[in-house]
Amino acid sequence: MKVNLNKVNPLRIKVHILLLFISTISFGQTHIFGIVKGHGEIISQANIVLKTDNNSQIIAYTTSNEKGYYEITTNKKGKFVLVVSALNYQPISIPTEQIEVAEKIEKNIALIYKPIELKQVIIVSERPITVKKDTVTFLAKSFLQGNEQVVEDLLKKIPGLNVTSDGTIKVGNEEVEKVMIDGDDFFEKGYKLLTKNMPASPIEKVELYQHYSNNKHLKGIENSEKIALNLKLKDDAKRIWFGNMQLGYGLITENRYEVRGNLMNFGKKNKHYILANLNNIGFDATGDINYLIRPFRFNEPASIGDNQTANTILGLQSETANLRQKKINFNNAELLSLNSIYTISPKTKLKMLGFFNSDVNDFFKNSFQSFTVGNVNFKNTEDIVGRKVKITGFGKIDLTHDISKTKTLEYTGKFNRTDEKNRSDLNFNGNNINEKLQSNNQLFDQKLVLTSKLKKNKVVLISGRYINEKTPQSYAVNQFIYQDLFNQNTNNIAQTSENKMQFAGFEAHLLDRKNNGELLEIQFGNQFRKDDLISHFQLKSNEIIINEPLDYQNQLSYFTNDLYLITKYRFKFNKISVLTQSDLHQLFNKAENFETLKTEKPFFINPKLGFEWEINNKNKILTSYSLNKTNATILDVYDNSIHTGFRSFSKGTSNFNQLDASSVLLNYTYGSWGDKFFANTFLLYSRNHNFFSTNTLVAQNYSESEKILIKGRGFLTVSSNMDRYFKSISSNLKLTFGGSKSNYKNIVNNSDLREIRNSSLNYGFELRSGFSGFFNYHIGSKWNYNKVKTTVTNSFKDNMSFLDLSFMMSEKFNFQIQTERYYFGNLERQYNKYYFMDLDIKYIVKENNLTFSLSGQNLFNTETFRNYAINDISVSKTEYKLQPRYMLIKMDFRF
Amino acid sequence: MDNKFKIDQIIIVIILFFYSYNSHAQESNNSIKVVYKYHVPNNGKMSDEIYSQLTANNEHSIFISERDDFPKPENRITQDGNSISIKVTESDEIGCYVYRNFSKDSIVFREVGSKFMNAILVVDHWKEISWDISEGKKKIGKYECQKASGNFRGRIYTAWFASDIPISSGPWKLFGLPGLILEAYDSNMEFYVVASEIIFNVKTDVEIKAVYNNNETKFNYEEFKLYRKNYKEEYVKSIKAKLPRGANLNLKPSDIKNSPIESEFE
Repeated sequence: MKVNLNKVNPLRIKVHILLLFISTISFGQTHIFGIVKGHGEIISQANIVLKTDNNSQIIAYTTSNEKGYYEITTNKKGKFVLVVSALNYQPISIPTEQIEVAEKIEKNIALIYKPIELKQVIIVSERPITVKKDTVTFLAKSFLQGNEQVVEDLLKKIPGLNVTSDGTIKVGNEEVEKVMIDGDDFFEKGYKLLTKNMPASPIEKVELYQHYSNNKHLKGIENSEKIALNLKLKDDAKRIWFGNMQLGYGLITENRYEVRGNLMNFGKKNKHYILANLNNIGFDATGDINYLIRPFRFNEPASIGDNQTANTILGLQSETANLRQKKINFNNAELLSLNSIYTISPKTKLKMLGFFNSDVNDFFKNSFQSFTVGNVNFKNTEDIVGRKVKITGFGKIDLTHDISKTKTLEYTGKFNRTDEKNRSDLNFNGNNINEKLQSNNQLFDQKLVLTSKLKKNKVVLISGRYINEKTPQSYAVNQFIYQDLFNQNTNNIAQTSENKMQFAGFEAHLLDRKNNGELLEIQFGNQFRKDDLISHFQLKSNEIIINEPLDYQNQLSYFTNDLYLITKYRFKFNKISVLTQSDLHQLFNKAENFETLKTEKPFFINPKLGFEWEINNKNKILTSYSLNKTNATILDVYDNSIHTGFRSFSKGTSNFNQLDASSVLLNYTYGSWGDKFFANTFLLYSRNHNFFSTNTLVAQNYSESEKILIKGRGFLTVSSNMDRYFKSISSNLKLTFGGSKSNYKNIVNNSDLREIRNSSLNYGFELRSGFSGFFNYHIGSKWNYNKVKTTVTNSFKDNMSFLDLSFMMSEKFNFQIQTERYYFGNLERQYNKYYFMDLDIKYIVKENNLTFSLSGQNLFNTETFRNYAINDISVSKTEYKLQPRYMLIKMDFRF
Repeated sequence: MDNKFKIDQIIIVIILFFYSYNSHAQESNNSIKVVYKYHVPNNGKMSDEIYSQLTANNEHSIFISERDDFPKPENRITQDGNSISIKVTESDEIGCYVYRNFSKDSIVFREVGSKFMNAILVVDHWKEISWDISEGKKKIGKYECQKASGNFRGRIYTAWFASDIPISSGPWKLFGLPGLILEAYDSNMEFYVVASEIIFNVKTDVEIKAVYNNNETKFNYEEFKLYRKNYKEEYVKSIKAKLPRGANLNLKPSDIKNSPIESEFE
């Protein structure tokens, strides 16, 4: 019942009722009371409403109690209407007389019985969330609270979506594949560029697609756990240009800068996106757009040719330290990317993408190696200072056309051109040597896919692909140190190599989902690949070519043609899934080198068996067994030696080869991520029945290795991790454990076949707090133990520890400190420990509009970093020069 | 404290015993059953849709959700518990309910247990919400509804009620308007409930009852206030501590505080 208090008291006070019945003493209030009856009996819980005369406004209301008694009060004057209603009775409206002074009016009500005819009423209303099969639609206006700026802010408010601090969008354990705008997608997995910059205001609905398929005709047919988001724009969303810009400049240190900019325009018909990044603080921006050039589609239908790339023989400075790249990357990079989507007609869409990147990298490395092979012992020192200049231009066109409702044609064309110049000054055992390497890449890639839906659950995809890639290289060294190898006296060497790859493939893929949920897949296709490897090795005296040793020239054309048939069937029994697969391959190999011509026609079958069992909510097992035969590539088979890098020459087997391997995989999961205790164990054993090993001649100034075919290599890896939350310290403990063991054989310096056993063990822990206050910590440590055993045993133990502290002083101001410690067990005491500290301070002037931050890297100014490594013939210590300490002040604004 | 607790427990059991054997006559056809689509606050925003039912007549009413035999939402959005969901995917035989007895002005509610704690049974305060009825009107289905707003235990609720259905009941603990509440939500859009089906002339011989098995932890109102205060803090801390390196603090303090549906008590 509603209660009005003392009118004399000028303040209106609301009272919360605790007692079961009310008693009030009031002055100046009119009481209307009575008993409500109907059908001869008292009616409890009848609604009594006092309205204004014209029946519009409710002034007071109450319900009758279990004795049918009601009491309604008001301090208003005038004429009113009393409306009384109860379920199954006819409602009545009783007008009152004019009320001028406070009075008590008794009105007993008699209602007429009128049972409700209706049985059931369905209500359909515009709800904030509507669910239809695999699509969940959210009405943006229901979730906007008024302080959202960018799409990410809106997505954080949508139930079921999890947006982490770095912007990763997940639903459950699964990250979204893409964030589309009105069905169009630019960035695939790089969606953060969009969600962190596009404003939230033009969005009308957010759609969440589950069991998403990149190819719309495969929906419901292929097994997909993928998730995608689609932002639907308001009809009147104007064509506005918007974006953000981040500028950073170094304080106290010389000339360090970072500029990032994004500019976007998403209209209904055409969409545009422009991105730029210029920096010299070691950040590799191409990592972000790699998904644009080579979209990684794992195991997807019509991905023929995705795994084909040309080979590169020479690469200088390929190994890097076990450290975050940013610390040792001395760069000066510029990147610009333009992307557009045009809707030519409702059935046709054109997507265009292009980018240009130029980068200058400097590297500094000192290394010391000690070789022990049989009776041969020697030591080498190498001090390198080098510079690499790399320019890349890339363009891609994607055209999609719906021929009919069940047929779609898609064409994709890619073009890439990369020029790389590499120069290094090398001090080798006291000799000053200059190396020059020019590496180019030219790629021309075309793909055509026709998807046709035959029946509701049956789809066939026909795809064709043509790739033409060239990777020519030319290498020159201005000193000659291979006297022992060539028995000649010259003063420099040069090598040019051309590597051309042509690929043409065709495939028909049928997917048939049966009524019981089981899936049948049949793939039939032909893949043809031609590799041309031409290498010229020259011994020169100044500019005159003295000799071109025959054994060091190659002119090989290697053809492989694979005609294949793959059948897969996925059975389902309750909680168990069984996957059976068999791949039939008919190969045709041909190799032409100078005059010799060899061919072969092997036929083989690769079977695979997989088993998945979801025991219950907490336990899940996955296991699979497969037998794999793979065909050798051109880099395994070339006949004569090639100079593959400073001091190294290698040679292939000069024979056709197929390698056999079998592997067993086991994965056990207990619990799930949010549980108090969660564990995941993974075990993989694979055995190569035959594999490529090497027969190497190692000397101080050179090493010459030849690929040989050996039987029997085993590999076992185990990894396990567990999570447990401890309430008493509000922190989560994570333990990881892993190990791997492998054994193989090789020949060095005319030895017998020697057995090499590699084993490694790693274990670590992490403790992370979950305090709700302003402070949080994250501490961890990981140990790494490595051993290589031949006739001699080499081993080492390393450790990496970290401590991160974070302080959220307020919603606008926060800072983070990250410290790391590296320990190398086998280095000398003065060089075996390294400490790093990075600091990040952020001040948000206006959320997502303007932010200032100060970023300090390598505050301890650790200048060099040494690494220790072992392999079956040597032990090496390498020292890298690190990016010195710098402080960058950054400003980030949106427009 | 322990002894007092035991006595309180006994008293509560007696009260419940009395309510569940409520043998008032007139369990007639006068009951109405409403199916609601219900969303509870879940760490700063709405949860998945939960199926719930209100059965009411002129003596008592019960609002039930998360019962085993109720349909689960069409789409399980939160799959492996990765998001911080306090209630959503749990259910048991009896379910969550709010039982109200009008003649005795009493409310008893039950919450389903989860990984972290037992089911609980609470004898609550009969708290009438002082609603402000405004002029706003809209149609929900075929019913003309009027807008009312009220403050209840830390949240500001907006409710749309249909005077054509003269039952002053509604979903969850929202009631007391001159008409059935067909839609209600709070000012943060974290709580949302809307009716999707109304069934009239329902026979309710046994349904409207404060049922319990013996596994629940029983609280009276004061004990419940204390319990509620501590629970939410513990749960949230455990999730923050599981984040991988580099994923910092993706929970704002304000999100944590608003997680339970009732945060301030009278």
